[in-house]
Amino acid sequence: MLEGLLLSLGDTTLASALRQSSIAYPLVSSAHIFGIGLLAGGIVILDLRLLGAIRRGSLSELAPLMSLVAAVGLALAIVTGTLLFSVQPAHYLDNSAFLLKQLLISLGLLNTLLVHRLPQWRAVLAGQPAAPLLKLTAVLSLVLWLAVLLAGRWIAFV
Amino acid sequence: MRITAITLCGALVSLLLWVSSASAHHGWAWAEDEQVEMTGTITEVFIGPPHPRLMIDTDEGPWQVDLGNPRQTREAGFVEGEAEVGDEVLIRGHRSADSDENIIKAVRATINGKHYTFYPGLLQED
Repeated sequence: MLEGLLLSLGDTTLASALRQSSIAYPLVSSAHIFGIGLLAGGIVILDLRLLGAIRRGSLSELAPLMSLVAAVGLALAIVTGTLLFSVQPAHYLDNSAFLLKQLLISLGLLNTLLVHRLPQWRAVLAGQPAAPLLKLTAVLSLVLWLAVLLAGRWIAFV
Repeated sequence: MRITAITLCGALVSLLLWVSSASAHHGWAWAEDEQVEMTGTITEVFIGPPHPRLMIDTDEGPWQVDLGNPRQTREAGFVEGEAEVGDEVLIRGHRSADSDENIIKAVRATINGKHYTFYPGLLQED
């Protein structure tokens, strides 16, 4: 059922317009990259700050700001990514790098959800230093989101 | 020291992406220098971004035919309706240098006697 729904994205007017216009696809693609840039930028700065590789700025201020930047980037990337996907759904559903990317995004999001529920996260927001568990999730986050980036780029090479 | 390590990591990732993009289907570096011909029956036509392509059945099995970019493909006259699944196609182009990869980058496709030249400057006439 999910597959049918995903495949039917290709039959929408929007998908058809994206296939035919000579400027729509590059524009949406650029917006997708912009979203990824915001997402990765927010994540990398916050994770390196949590790990202590960056020492500037207070965590209690950086944490909510970088989370917001990443969330806005993610939202933009999801909307534009769905549009790019709709251009040829069957092709992407058959692409192992694309499927791996979706799995990695799910793991990245699970990690984010977990972090935001941790008492150690609330402690950081309250001005406490990052606990070891939080540093571990920061490493996990860096690895997962960089893997998402690589898998995404690899879609064109499988 | 730490900043140096971070900068180095960034540079390495950039290099990796740059090297891999050099072997991308955009450009010719990944393909053989020799221009060859190949015939097959079309099993799929995709005209649209990011890269128009044909899937064909040949004596050597299924092959992917990369056409020009969307603009080059349109300017070659290859638009929706020019080719159907089941049509015979003659491809003149460059095969992937990796013999395990059944991909050919088309310089020209000929269908029902009509030529579609994606890269006029690169066509090597016999």
